[in-house]
Amino acid sequence: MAVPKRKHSNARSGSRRAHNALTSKQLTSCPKCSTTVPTHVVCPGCGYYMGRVVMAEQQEEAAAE
Amino acid sequence: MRHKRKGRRLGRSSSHRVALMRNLASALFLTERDDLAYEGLFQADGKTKVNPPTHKGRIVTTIQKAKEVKPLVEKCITIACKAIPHEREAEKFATTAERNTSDWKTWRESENHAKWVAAMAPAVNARRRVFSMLRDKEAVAILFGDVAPRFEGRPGGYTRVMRLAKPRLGDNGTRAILEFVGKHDRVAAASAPKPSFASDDAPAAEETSATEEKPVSEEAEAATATAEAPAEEAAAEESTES
Ligand SMILES: [Zn+2]
Repeated sequence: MAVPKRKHSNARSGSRRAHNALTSKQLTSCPKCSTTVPTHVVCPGCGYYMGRVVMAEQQEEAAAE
Repeated sequence: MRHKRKGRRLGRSSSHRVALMRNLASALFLTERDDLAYEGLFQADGKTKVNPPTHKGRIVTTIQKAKEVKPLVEKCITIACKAIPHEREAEKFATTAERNTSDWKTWRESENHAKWVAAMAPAVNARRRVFSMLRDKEAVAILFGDVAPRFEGRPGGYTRVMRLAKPRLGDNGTRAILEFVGKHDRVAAASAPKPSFASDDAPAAEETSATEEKPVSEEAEAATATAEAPAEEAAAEESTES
């Protein structure tokens, strides 16, 4: 059976994980209510999206259920 | 090689996927159903009432499903739109008499009936083609009666997909709105009143604000002037979304 010959160093693990970093979501602020929202989404606070309100606040809540 | 592979499998078998697409497309059309249709409807427990949708012409699903069902919905609408002129043509030979009345029977024997049948044939064919895709008679009726007339003359782009901020609770799936265009469209910003340049001795600060406003008002005017503005807007949205 194949067995490890050498100890797997911490540096080896670390360098393997060098490219595993996650990128955070791109955030922007809603032009209408200024809450922080991800880009290209309907604002969860006021329902604003690309120049008009597409969803009132309560309806967003209802849709979330 | 990736040749001819398109679309998402959505973790389903072929038949399951087809059924899902039919259900989603039908569900979207059925949101346009009259509120009276929900009278006396109860959920599975037999007590809770079924409420009409808060927004007509809109469903909330995952972004992947929404993007996948969009072409099916649009194809159905296109077929239905093409049937409208034929239905209008057939109107000339139709009768207003009730079925099985003597008037109706004479119409039925007359030449007009044969002409009506011939004129209606393409419309009936369209209905059958859509029905074969949706397998839901009520959805097809709503599409031909209600939805298609709204989009007559529009060269595609009948629906839009918008991402929602909050993911689904169970599996963190990205939710999205799939809806018919026409409602909740972007409106051109109300054109600001044109600054008058009559008085040249206005302060410099006012002048700068006037020049800033100018492009905005021009854009708004252009949007209202061209009849094709909604189509352009939909196209612009699609390019930003996908
Ligand atoms: Zn907002």
